Amino acid sequence: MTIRACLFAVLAVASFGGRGALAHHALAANYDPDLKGTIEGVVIEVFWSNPHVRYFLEVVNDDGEKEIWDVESSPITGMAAAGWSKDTVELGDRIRVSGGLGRDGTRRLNLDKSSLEVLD
Amino acid sequence: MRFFVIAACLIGLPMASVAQPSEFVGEWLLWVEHGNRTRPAYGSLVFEQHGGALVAFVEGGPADVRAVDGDRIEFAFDWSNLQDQVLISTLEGRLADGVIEGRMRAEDGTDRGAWRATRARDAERNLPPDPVELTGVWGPPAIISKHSFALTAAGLEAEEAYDATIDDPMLRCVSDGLIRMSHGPWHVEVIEVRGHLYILHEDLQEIRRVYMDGRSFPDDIADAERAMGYSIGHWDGSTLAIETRGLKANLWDAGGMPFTSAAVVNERWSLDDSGQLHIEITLDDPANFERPVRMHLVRERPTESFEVGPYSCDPHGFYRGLEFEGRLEEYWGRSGNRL
Repeated sequence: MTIRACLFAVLAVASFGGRGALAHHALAANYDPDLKGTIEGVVIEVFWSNPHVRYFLEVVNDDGEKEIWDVESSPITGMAAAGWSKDTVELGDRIRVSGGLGRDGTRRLNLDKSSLEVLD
Repeated sequence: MRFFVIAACLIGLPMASVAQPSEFVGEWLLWVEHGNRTRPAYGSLVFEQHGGALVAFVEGGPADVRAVDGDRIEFAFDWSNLQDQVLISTLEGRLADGVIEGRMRAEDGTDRGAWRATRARDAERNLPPDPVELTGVWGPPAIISKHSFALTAAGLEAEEAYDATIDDPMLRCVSDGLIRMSHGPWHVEVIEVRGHLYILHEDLQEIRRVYMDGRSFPDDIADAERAMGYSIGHWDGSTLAIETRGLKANLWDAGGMPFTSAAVVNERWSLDDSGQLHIEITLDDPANFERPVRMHLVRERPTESFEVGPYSCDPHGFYRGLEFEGRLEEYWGRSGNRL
């Protein structure tokens, strides 16, 4: 951050008043807005439900170890608007998806609904 | 004088009807071309004069008046987008014929589109009842999503203690309460039954009842602890005025803006000439906020037939995610933060 940007940030806080936590939206709170990524894995659990549709994927990392990733998306209405249904992704599917990555290295992915590739 | 007028025109000096800062004072309806969902949004804009200086509030939170020069004004406010990034927009505009209009820019100078402020509607109060048709389905509001508010020490403490990733009641399919539910990206349906109004929220299938029979609040209203509160309404001219008390302490945004069970919420629902539904909300909760928080939502009729139907909510995915992340113990340990 440049000195000017830093000063602006300080002035902004002084002008608008304090607010402790940055998180403003329940879904976004878990994700780093500056980190994007792609994962590939086998769907081991499907939660087609509100408040957020979720899929859990078993992913093999670069070291050959298995990891569980939490792929989170929007409420059902948002999924339906993007053309998804509860059958779009099913247990056992191998899929590749992209999206925002979790804060602090957590194994989370905020699904970009246009990124789905069903591999087999 | 004639020479001066010609010279002033030539060099661009404003000669006629130069606005004073006091002409900005009052309540305005703010429209921005790009809200937090990159579509037009509405909000409340208030200018006040404090000790000769003009101060501003957007959606009930402080904004920063950076310059006032005759009929021109520049102010900025902070807001958060859906990716949870806190952004600052600067609005430059000119007051003419009772309307302030101009352009909005991002911190890096990028143009963010047009903005406009018109005098807030519904200035007259205590008029004879003249009901209008509010029943039916209304679409989700487009909001500005103001970020910071003038919190008291207690409010700041409550907000800082909140962890949106684990404390948010919505994650457990528990009602997120009157104000947050009113702001959410969901439809509502207004139904009239025996003179009372029922508001069905798509979000969590919450039902709100507005008593219209002139009753008073129950004596034990302070202990009611209802997610949507106890609401009493009446027609003030063609505006539906609703007062709500008896709310369960909760949040009114996902980031943790708190309110206590002593909060009082006043709403004024009215239709404009184009049929849009305007809802002014005033949250008065002195325990958490230095001043009442004034918000303004606009809903429109859906363009396609829409039925407010079942909302299937299951917290299982939330708990499963906590288990995979090894945060279940943390969750149980935060029982005191649970709303």
